[in-house]
Amino acid sequence: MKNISDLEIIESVKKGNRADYSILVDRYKNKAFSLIVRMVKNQMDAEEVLQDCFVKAYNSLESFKQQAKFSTWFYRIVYNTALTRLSTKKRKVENDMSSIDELYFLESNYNPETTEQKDSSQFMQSMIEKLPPSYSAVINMFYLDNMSCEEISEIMQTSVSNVKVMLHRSRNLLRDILIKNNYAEEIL
Amino acid sequence: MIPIDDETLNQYIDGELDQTKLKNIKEHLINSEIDRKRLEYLQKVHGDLGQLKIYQTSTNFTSFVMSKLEKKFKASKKDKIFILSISSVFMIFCLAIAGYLLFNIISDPSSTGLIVEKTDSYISILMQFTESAKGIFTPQNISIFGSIISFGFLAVAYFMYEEHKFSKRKIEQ
Repeated sequence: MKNISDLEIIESVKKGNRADYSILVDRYKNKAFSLIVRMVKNQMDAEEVLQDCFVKAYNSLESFKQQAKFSTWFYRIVYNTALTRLSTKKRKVENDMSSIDELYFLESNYNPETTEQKDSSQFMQSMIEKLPPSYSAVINMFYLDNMSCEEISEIMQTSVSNVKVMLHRSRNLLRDILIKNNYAEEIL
Repeated sequence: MIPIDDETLNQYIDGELDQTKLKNIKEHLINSEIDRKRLEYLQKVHGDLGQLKIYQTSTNFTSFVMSKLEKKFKASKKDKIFILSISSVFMIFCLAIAGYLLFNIISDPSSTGLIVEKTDSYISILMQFTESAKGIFTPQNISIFGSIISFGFLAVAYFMYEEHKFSKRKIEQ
């Protein structure tokens, strides 16, 4: 089953083998779930959003053009659905190219004295959860899904340079927080 | 010595610098401890981000999605049957009227060969009806009719919305 390509599965589903869609669900559920959790910051909401995404993708399979990669097409659905969920919940969806000052609220919010001391990678995980949705989406797709900036820009429907700016800003911010909290000493 | 900006350090990590720039940066890093440390911290972040945690969905997630799709499929099939049956009834009704008119024309022996005349008489009846309708649809009455029709539409829309909500809830269960 693992050797079947996404396109072959889609062809089979289109021919009426609806059960084959479960292979695609199994293949993408955890990575897509990680992306949504990092965007909506809540696992319960994220699972609901992911269900909607798979239903939407199934209903739109006919419109899927096979020139594109299924993963890119599906992740676009996931990203947009997560953004819609955020906006319906009236949470703040930041502008992709918002001022860097908005990002630095993380730095000011973090109080090392009240936070349990963890190692730097655990600390990093917890800080990523606090990044604005599109920044954590970029980080998730770049590092977890090993996507290129071009693919990410296609998913987020923005320019490649915007994606790079978001990626670099996130890294710089995390580095600065790391230094401020003396985690940098671990590498020295 | 001019410090290297963050953008260049990020490009260095991503391997996006050309050979000349890369050589210059490497030379600069040998002489600047501050920038070397800045790069090390950034590489540390880059390394840690490479070990991002993968969240796991609940164990029955796939089966839940598949059963949701199955229910949706059944519901859409039901909708199709409903629309088909409504349109079939409408078609049968139209065919029955057409058949009745045709039967009247053909079965009346006096009308044989006078189909055109018959048609003319039906047209004149239709014209009479239109004329009388003009009397009913006066500017005063038309607003009343409009209100009644609007109310009817609203009532139908309300029941359709309720029905849609009910079927959606059923699918989600």
